[in-house]
Amino acid sequence: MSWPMRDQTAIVGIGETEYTRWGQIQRSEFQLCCEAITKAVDDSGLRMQDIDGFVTYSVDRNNPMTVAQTLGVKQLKYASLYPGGGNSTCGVIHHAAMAVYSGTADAVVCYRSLCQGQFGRFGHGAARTGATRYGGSNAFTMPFGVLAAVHRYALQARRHMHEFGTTSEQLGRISVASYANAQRNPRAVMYGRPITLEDHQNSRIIADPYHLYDCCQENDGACAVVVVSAERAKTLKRKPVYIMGAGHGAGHRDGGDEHSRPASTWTSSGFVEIARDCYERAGIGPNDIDVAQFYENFTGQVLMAIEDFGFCKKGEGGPFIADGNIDYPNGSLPINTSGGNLAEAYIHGLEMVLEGTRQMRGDSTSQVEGAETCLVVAGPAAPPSSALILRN
Amino acid sequence: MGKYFGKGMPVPAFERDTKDFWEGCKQHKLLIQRCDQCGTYRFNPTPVCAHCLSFKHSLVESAGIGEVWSFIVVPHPVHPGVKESVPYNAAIVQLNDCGSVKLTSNVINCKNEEVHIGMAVKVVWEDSEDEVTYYRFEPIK
Repeated sequence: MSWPMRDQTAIVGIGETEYTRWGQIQRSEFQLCCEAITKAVDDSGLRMQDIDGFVTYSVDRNNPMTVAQTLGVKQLKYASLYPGGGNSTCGVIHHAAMAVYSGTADAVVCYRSLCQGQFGRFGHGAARTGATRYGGSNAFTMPFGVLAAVHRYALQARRHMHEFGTTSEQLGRISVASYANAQRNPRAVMYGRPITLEDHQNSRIIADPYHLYDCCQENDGACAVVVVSAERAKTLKRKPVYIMGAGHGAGHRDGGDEHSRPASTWTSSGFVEIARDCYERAGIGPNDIDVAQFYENFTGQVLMAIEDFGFCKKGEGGPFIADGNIDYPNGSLPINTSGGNLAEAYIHGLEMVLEGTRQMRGDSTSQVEGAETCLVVAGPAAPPSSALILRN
Repeated sequence: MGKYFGKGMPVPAFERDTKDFWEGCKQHKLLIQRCDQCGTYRFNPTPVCAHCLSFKHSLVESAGIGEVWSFIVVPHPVHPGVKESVPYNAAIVQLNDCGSVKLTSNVINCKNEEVHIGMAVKVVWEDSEDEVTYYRFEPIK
């Protein structure tokens, strides 16, 4: 049975503020949120009074009701918070598409505003909150020095290296590819700052095996995306970018909890089930994907996500990357064509949905010629995760 | 405050679902939950078995012997609590008994360079001033 929602909803508007290193923007995070939304609505050709739904991440400080009220929205019909952080990147679009497809709302905006300079740097992990006592599963990790995301994910990368012989140089190729793409993208925070594999290898160790350049940036900025029905999209000014497939969730016990996960999930980014759902719903397979955006919290998790989505066999992600498959323009699967979280900006990954949209409109700064499908993959190894297949 | 780490390190909260485990640590016992209905072990402590949904469990004392499943070495002091401890290691240890559950801990009494996946380790206890006893591991010579 085919997925009833296939191609029935579309992205029709995108908007973003400038992206900077953390702490550079003086306007409030909330103002940036409102700016990105107004730009996305303008881009679509709709007016704010046409917007009746808002979706963001549960960790976003700018909740849908406050946003709707501040922007003078006529009637709010759908408000939702996708649970979590970077894992939500595609889940928010999926929620918006479901709201539109079900007739609950007509035009839904997904947004994320993130000023790490104003509210604390994610890289500081437990130090960001200043708390001293931790409950839940944190009680079993933080007192032992697993304090920040980089620690959790480096443990996983080490295991992949052990089981499959993956090397730091292979991971470094992901970073080099993203930085190379950022050199063509004036929006990118790392525009004008290319790196070599040597730079990656010589960068300081944050949590061995991860170097500095294996880690995403910390930034200030905001972006937004407008979703409407396919039917309505055809009446608007921009070329519709159809949501061909989407999936979110988690496999069995695929938790962020380090202790209880099955052995096989230690070398996966947790997308095996999501990938299957996305491909089935879109009615295509990995060979049909022309370009992809993979959320990089850390390079090793991108490699494992590439394996989870079937672009190479399990354990062969290292050679796949080293052979240049992810490089623009000649690789079989150019990835992160804006520079991604590593080199464009880390707006919690939503900026990668904007880049996927540009690829399908044909106006990326690293445009893959003739691209008809784009896979967008949200924050890996942090379930419930999510992914989208877009088409033009 | 554990001795492997300095002042200001995060401390576990004793919660209703986990306090029996931490009380066991104070007596230098590594107590792992085993489901009374299906016998499945689980860690960290939870109120219900994910396999059979039984809410009844017993605590089984582990011999505290296992091997390193994965590890990191951290030179970058991201938190005030690790300032005096860098470079430190954190390791996932898989126990030999109790359903081979995995615990996050540290490998002490050896150099960071000696830690490796598959390394045989045994539990050592570290009493602290904040009424928490920490389980760490050391190599089995």
